[in-house]
Amino acid sequence: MDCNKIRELLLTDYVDNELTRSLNADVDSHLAACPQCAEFLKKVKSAATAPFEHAPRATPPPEIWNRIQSSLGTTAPAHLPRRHWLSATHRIRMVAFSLSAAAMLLVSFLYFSDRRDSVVSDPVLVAAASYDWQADIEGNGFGTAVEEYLLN
Amino acid sequence: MGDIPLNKNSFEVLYKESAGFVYNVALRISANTFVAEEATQEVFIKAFRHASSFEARADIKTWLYRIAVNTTLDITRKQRRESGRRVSYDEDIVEKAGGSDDVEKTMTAVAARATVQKLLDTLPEEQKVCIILRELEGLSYEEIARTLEVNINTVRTRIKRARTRLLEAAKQQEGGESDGLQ
Ligand SMILES: [Zn+2]
Repeated sequence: MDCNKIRELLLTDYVDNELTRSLNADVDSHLAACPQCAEFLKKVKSAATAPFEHAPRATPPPEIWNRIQSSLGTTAPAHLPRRHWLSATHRIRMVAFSLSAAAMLLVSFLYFSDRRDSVVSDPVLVAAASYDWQADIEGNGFGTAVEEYLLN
Repeated sequence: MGDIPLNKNSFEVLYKESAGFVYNVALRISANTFVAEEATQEVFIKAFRHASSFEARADIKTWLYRIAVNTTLDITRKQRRESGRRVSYDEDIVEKAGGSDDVEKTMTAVAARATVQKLLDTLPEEQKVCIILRELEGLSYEEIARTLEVNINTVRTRIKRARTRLLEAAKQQEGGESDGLQ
């Protein structure tokens, strides 16, 4: 490798430990033989990597967590008992929805395969069609472990 | 990078384990504690809202880094557009140091932070973000590439350009100092 290629590696992969062991050894032997590249590496380290070593880290102020909690508290259902009631209802409604969807499929299959029945007036189908499941999902939140935590 | 078990534990655990790096990335990009606070808050609200979608996701940490970078850049740009000014990093930190018990220690930290920030602020946005993720967060090129959703060679090029720029800046400063002595 020529000096230009070596210096490109000195600016990147070499100082960041991204080289394979054999490539790293190649660079090391070039550095041992080439004082100009060795000097270049010294400059790279002092100007571009050393200043960031042991750079102080800031601690996030505790108010951030409080603000997150209050911000999320307003979007999630407020009380646990109500949530449990909603969850139970939600489950029942989802089962009912699935059953009615299956029924709808079955009925439409029968309807289209046997055109003699011209009118379909099944109350389950009507309920299924008018069921606003999008609103229901929103009302119940995410149902995740995260939500579980925030609500408890 | 290790995975953070969102499922098993809780949102609070996720926050405790990640708020530090989210806040520091935001602070280094923006050089402004108000922006960093706002960005951190926004990142975790987004994380909460998307919790169900990344329960299956292996790499929450990469996702958080990505959202931290993007959110901070968004807020910074918006702020620049709206006010045309920003609170300088130094002013801001020194102001906060006033309330500390150990003023001397705080001032040393402030000086160190300001030095690092001065170097970062000489870099264009994309290069600066790569240096922050590499030097201050210790991410590998591969992890930076995944975080920023760019090719690994793009990461390499940005880091090379950033360091070349820092080298030139140091050379100029050296020249300036010796000129002053003459
Ligand atoms: Zn050489």
